[in-house]
Amino acid sequence: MIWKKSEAEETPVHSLSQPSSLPPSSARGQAQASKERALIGAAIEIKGNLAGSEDLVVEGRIEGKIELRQHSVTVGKSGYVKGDVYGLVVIVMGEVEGNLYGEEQIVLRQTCTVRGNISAPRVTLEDGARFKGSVDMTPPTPAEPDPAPA
Amino acid sequence: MSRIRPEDLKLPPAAYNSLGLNALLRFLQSNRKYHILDLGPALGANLEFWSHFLCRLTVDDFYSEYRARTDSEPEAPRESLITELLPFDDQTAFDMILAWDLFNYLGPEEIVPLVRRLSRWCRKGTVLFALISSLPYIPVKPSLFRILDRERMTCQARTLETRPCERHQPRDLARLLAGYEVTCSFLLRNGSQEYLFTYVECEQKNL
Repeated sequence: MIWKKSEAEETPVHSLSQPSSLPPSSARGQAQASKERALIGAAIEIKGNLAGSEDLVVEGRIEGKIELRQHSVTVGKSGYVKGDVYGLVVIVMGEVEGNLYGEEQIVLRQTCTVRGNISAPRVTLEDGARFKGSVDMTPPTPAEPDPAPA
Repeated sequence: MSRIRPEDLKLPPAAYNSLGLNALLRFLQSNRKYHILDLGPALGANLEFWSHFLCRLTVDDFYSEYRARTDSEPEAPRESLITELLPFDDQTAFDMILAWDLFNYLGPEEIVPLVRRLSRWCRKGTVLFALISSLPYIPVKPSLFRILDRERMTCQARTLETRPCERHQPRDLARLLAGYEVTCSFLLRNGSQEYLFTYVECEQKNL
């Protein structure tokens, strides 16, 4: 099957072993509002940009921008993305060559390889993750004026 | 960019008080945003630590990629390889460079072009943190340094296999790190010395 809707058993997000890596409750709430998510299978290759309004799991190969700012994007272990990724929560277990933008959180799992810059309020990096790039750190300090948007 | 494998984490990390780290962090007390270059592998603990500061952290695990290339292409000119592996744009300016124990694994003929290349993105006052070992043998791979808090770090060897250490002498460092001056140094019990260098001049930025 090329594209399919998958239920909870296809969701690496729910199999996270470290509680600290879980998306914040608001992210979970939105991401789980619909338990369905699109899966790009390991044998699929897409050249072009992707946008939509549901969660996405990439196990195949995408060359292009992924833009799902209100939904989670998971690049699975066999997934490869060449292009920028925008998501509410972005979780990478496979390989990404591009910048990652997370509205709420970005998680780099120990199996991932990422070459690109990261921008998100929360970034979790597991030891073993291969990462080359920059991370913008802007600690939440309410007393200070808001910095320019990333 | 090499992956830290499970076997790299078998040896227990050794925690120690780091006066060098403490001195380094004194540079981060103003409110402006800092740009930090970490030349070691990406580690979650360090990312977590720096997330408490207003900064941009650039991670470039230089050594693993560099050594893999020099092993596979022994005749390749070191300078061009270093240039290729450190491709930051001209707008980049680092306030802090974390070299960890990298220099223990590089000969003088490698440190000089590396430091010259890095100076391209340094400005007056850029600080460089390095650990120089005086031991005759060191682990085959650079160790993993994790920052625990403002004064404590852990050092974790990734293997029991050893190799000869370059053992750079203090008097040589001034020559090897052209443009930098030693701000302070602290001798550790394990035979390493923590150095904090400060970039003071801007010559030879043509690489």
